[in-house]
Amino acid sequence: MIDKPNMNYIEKLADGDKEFEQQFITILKEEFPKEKEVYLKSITANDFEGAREIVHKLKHKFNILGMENAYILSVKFEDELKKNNMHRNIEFIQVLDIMGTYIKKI
Amino acid sequence: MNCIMVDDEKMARAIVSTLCSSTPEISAVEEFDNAISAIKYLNQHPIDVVFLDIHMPGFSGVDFIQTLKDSPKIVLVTSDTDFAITAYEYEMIVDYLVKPITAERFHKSIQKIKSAVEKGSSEAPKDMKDNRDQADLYINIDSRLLSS
Repeated sequence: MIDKPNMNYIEKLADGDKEFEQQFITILKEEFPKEKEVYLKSITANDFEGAREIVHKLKHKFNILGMENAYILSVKFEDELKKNNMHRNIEFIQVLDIMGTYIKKI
Repeated sequence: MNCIMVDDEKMARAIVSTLCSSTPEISAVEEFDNAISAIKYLNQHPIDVVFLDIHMPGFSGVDFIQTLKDSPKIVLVTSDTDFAITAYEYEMIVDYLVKPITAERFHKSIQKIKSAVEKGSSEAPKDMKDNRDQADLYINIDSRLLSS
């Protein structure tokens, strides 16, 4: 089951400071689309190592947005990509799409 | 104490920076998205602590540690728990933070760093000390020393 992203971690970290909160949101909006693009390009090119590196980076963002299931999926996928196995790609793209939609809205 | 952050992910640097800004004992003075730039900076500036990501493309956090001539205290910051053992291999590493870092865990880390700084127990491994007189910057990638 794909979990819903939330801002709990960022809000707690910002501790009521709206400027900090906005700073984090700006970074998410800036970094995530680029990282998603890198992932998609890596998969298209069968670049397993490139895909693994970006999955590793993305899993931190899943944690930041409270997406525990997505994090667990990433850990498994990262390990499988080391063995040139990309069978979780569709599921992973679904997670990225949900996250992307959420990031656009915040 | 002053610190720098080395992480290719901007979000991760912003988190450490925010945590530092709410912690009077430590001040974040600079941040780097790659280890080479950080090493060059460290050769010119006295720094107490480095918050260091392990997974960085090309030149990893481990390469960074193995290249440092005169090491400040290091806190490893990573999404993996797999590297915990690495933390015990180097005396300059005082803590190991798993992303995403919470404020509570960060403050515990600051206390560990303070103790280590006060104790003055940081000693670079002998093979690193042997290189201190060399004027050039050599970087260690996959156990190969390359001139930079």
